[in-house]
Amino acid sequence: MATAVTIGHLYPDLLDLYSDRGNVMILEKRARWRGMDVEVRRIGVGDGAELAGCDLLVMGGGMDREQNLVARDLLDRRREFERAVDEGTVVLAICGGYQLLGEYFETGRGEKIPGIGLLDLYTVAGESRMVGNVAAVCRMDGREETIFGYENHSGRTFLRPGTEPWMRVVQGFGNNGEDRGEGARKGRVFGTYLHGPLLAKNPGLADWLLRLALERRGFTGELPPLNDRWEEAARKNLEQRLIRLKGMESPHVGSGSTGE
Amino acid sequence: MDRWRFRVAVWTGRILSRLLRGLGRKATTLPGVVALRLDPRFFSSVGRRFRGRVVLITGTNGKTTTNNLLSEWLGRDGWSVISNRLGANLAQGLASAVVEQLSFRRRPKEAAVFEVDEATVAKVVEELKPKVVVVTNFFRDQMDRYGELDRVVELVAEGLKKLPEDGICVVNGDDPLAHSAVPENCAVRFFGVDDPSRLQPSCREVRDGKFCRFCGHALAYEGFFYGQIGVWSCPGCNRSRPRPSIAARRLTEAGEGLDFEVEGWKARLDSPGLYNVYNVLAAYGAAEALGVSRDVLGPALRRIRTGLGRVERFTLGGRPLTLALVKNPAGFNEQLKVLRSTPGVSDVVLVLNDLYADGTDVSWIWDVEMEQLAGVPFERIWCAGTRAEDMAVRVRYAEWSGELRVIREPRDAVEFAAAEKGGATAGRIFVLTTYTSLYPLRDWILERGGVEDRGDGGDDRPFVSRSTGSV
Ligand SMILES: [Zn+2]
Repeated sequence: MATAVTIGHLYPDLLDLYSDRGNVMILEKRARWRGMDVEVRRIGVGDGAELAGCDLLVMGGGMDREQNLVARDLLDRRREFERAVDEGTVVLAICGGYQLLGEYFETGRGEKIPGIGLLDLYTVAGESRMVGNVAAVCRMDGREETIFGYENHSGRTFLRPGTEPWMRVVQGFGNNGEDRGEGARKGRVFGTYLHGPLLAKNPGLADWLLRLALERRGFTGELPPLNDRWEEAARKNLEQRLIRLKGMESPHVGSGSTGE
Repeated sequence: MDRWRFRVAVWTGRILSRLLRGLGRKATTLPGVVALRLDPRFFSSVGRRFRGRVVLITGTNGKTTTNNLLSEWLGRDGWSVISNRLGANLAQGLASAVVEQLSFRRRPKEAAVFEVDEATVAKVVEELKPKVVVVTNFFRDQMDRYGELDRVVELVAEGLKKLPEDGICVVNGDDPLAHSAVPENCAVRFFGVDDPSRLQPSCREVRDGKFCRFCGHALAYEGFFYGQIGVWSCPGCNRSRPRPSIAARRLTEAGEGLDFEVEGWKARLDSPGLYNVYNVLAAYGAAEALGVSRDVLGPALRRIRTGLGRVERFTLGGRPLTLALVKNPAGFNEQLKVLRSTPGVSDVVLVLNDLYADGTDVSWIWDVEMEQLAGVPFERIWCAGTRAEDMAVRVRYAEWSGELRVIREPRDAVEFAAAEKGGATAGRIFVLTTYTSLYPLRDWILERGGVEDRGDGGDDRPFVSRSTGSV
């Protein structure tokens, strides 16, 4: 019997701001190309779908209005979420989704939107946006790999003592533009500001997350390799391009206005 | 005093513009910057001069095409028009167009038609006092600099609130986002497609504006034309898609184009894109509001060309070639539909750049319904541009089964595609490119001896010709 994997796409209609559906598509196809049976469940606000049935949960980011709608639904699912993670479900949350996994998001007017506290961190609205390409070093099972992505956020996220950033920023802003930390990890829960989509140019990371999710199904082998030559070429190109762009990156950061 | 200042600003800008062009430089921004510096009330003078005859065109897609159509029709009706035809649509760009084109001698029929960046509308509307503001549509576009779409709609809505009393909005009512930008108590005409046979029951594409901007309820749809554009209603506050007062009816395919009816007139469009029907309606609404005679508009509709760098056809080395601009998922999706319905395409060239004018975030290609390509039998896809490899990865995940090649330099990619003799066919080359390679490619194609293919040998192309790239 072929290996099966179930991916839960959380709030696909509400949190789809930065091409977030790409991450789900990439995970799905990389599993399918290896002959696995893949089920993708779209989970929306108020849906009865059970989180604990999923091996992997993916959540993107949205505009303020959408995030507020999601925040309420997430609070209702808090215990369900915790149970899923206890039972081995892997969670990947990007940008707005990442913020919602923390303790709270404090808006510019001082209003606190509660998160579900799966990650020990909080986010405060900033005045300028942090925008641009990012290169960051990520640790996976003792091995380190450079991750390429793009960030576009005004929230500054701060990790509580004892919580580890997921990556270390080489170029870009990361969590808050101050401590070079990017994203956060706690057990099988991962959050990051990097979209791009994150997994497009980081097939190693995609496979690592997939492999982690498959553990829940008792899978312990290695994933057979895929031909990732375009991904490798994209990584090489971006690495060189970032060196060339250094210093002239994102002339618009902080203005939020347009310019020619 | 005011008038004197304005004249000095125009003349100084004009001299600067001629100097720049003499040096082979583009002059779409700097002359305007200087003019605005010399006369901070520059736009007030323009507004007074063209009182009742200023048109602003804003929205995400279709600004340039609408601008060109409207300018052409005004020209046919004997108007002299100043317009930022090169697409520089920030305040400096508008001012540069005035500096270069303004005639100090008043003409009986004259108008100023500008396409305006969404964030610039509110900055110029009070001074320019437009008679007409056209709102085409709102789609996600270059979030690295515009920010969230909600904010962009809000900026335009703020601009519309400052419209003078005799001003009128001409708005795409099929787009719930454009509809929501119209302030209450504002004179408005809605345009839209009134042809239920064109409605799709569902929308596979990434869709913006899913929620009512007034009450937050999810919008309901009778059907979609494309993206979020369709017959919508809000179950929360009972707002709904208005019956269009400028409507396109009875759409049918006609060769490579579309036939339809506008206000009882027969219209024929030279390209199959439904999005262009909306541009035609937008231009028609603005022309009517300016008082252009129906005797002119009717015949003009019979042959509508929307080329002008947005979608143009050429012949290069014996091969037919289509060149089109793509800059956001909604526009890209529409071009893919055109591509799928174009017969005899053998090579597709996709150029993806990440320069500032293209948007530095290339993630948006993942919001494009590239899966439309699966099963379409062209031979090769060539990916080019500063982020060619990113495009190749996207095509890989779309599981398109033909031959995929990556060549950095866009010209080389087109050159190789044109030279390709292998395979079963050497058919049409279809080039989709982001902004910064569009005009360089167009110029290069013409230099290489490419000729514009007008399809039917007609000679009434719009008088606007765009060949200089400007950022
Ligand atoms: Zn409503």
